[in-house]
Amino acid sequence: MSTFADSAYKLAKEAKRTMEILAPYNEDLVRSICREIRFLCSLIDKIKADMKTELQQNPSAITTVLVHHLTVKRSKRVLMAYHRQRVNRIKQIIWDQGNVLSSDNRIALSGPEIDFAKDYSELMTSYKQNFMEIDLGGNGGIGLDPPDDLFIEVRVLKDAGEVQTEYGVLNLKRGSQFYVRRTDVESLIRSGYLKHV
Amino acid sequence: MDNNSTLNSSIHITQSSEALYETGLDDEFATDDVAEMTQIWINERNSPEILPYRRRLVEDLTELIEHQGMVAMEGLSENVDMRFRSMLYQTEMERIKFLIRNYLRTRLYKIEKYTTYLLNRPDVRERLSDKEYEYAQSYAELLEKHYSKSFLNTLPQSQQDVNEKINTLSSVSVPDEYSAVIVRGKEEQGMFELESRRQYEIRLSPESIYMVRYSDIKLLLEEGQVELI
Repeated sequence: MSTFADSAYKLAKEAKRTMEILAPYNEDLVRSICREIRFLCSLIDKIKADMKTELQQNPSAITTVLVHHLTVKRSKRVLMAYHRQRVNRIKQIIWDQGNVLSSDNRIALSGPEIDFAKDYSELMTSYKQNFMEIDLGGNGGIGLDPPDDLFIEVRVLKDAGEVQTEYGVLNLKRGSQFYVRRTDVESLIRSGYLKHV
Repeated sequence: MDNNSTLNSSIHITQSSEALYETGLDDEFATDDVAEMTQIWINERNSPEILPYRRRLVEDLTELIEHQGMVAMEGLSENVDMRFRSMLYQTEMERIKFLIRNYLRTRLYKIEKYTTYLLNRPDVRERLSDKEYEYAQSYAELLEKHYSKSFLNTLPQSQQDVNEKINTLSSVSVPDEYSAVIVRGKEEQGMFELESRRQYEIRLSPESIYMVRYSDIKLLLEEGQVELI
């Protein structure tokens, strides 16, 4: 027979090992820990019931109850920690990448976790709607990095004629220089018409 | 032709500054707001606990951004001068948006981390905006439901509570008031005695910077006498 809290120990180690990634949910281990907790609690209840009938309180019985009780509490803490860590990871994916339920992740999630991810996405979206002007990011959108170089200075290397941008028409004549929105000209830079200076 | 467009743009400028004035956001005002927002954001980032929500400030700045967005759009079809002006507006707007976004997200992070603690303490709860409070409540429900479905509901009745406390170990995360913060006085205010170490005094002035326990300067921060850096 294995020692009590063995599976909890295993789960704690697994949680530590998979801190950075979203590993498949370890349903078997979680189940066996729950089973053990139920078993220990029934033992405790039985001993307590016995103690009531015996007039003299037995020190060894009391110790047993204490040890079992601590085991239960410890296992429960491991379960909480394991689930919390996964929840945090799931939340992070939702903010940074959006769709947590892509096929890769989906197999790693438990049923309740899939529900949680959906509900959390909704919660996040509804909070974000209070700040439409700001765009709080999330769902793989804008991150928390400070904005850098919204506009850049470019020099025209090759005549490209007139280019329509959000800011009106740019007449790209060789040798001229513009201060433009980065997103507007990125493709032109790549194709060699413009040079970032 | 050229004259005409210059004239047009100058009219636009006057109009926009009038509009600015109407909403109570004249230039000086707005600059102050941005500077204040920057400090508020730095304080929030550096303090272990959540600080009172600055509703007025966030609202004012949001309004300003909305308005500036319109001004920037007006500049689109105008002459080069206006377009340049519009670019400057845009760049500055992105910066302000970043501040507010980061500020709100920092708060959300703390709300999620200390949800139970926040909801159980009326004095701390007051620091949240209405929306944040709603968010905290929904999040707490969500988490409890998740734990319950994942494993708690298979445990015996006596073990189903989410919040545990065994001796000094509690499952409720609480902000660490003893963590170190780096602090600077705002004005010359003389000496201030540290609560945690009575024999030590720090000098509050814009020139002196200290690393102290958060709990020691918590009140000073609330009163706005110091700022975190």
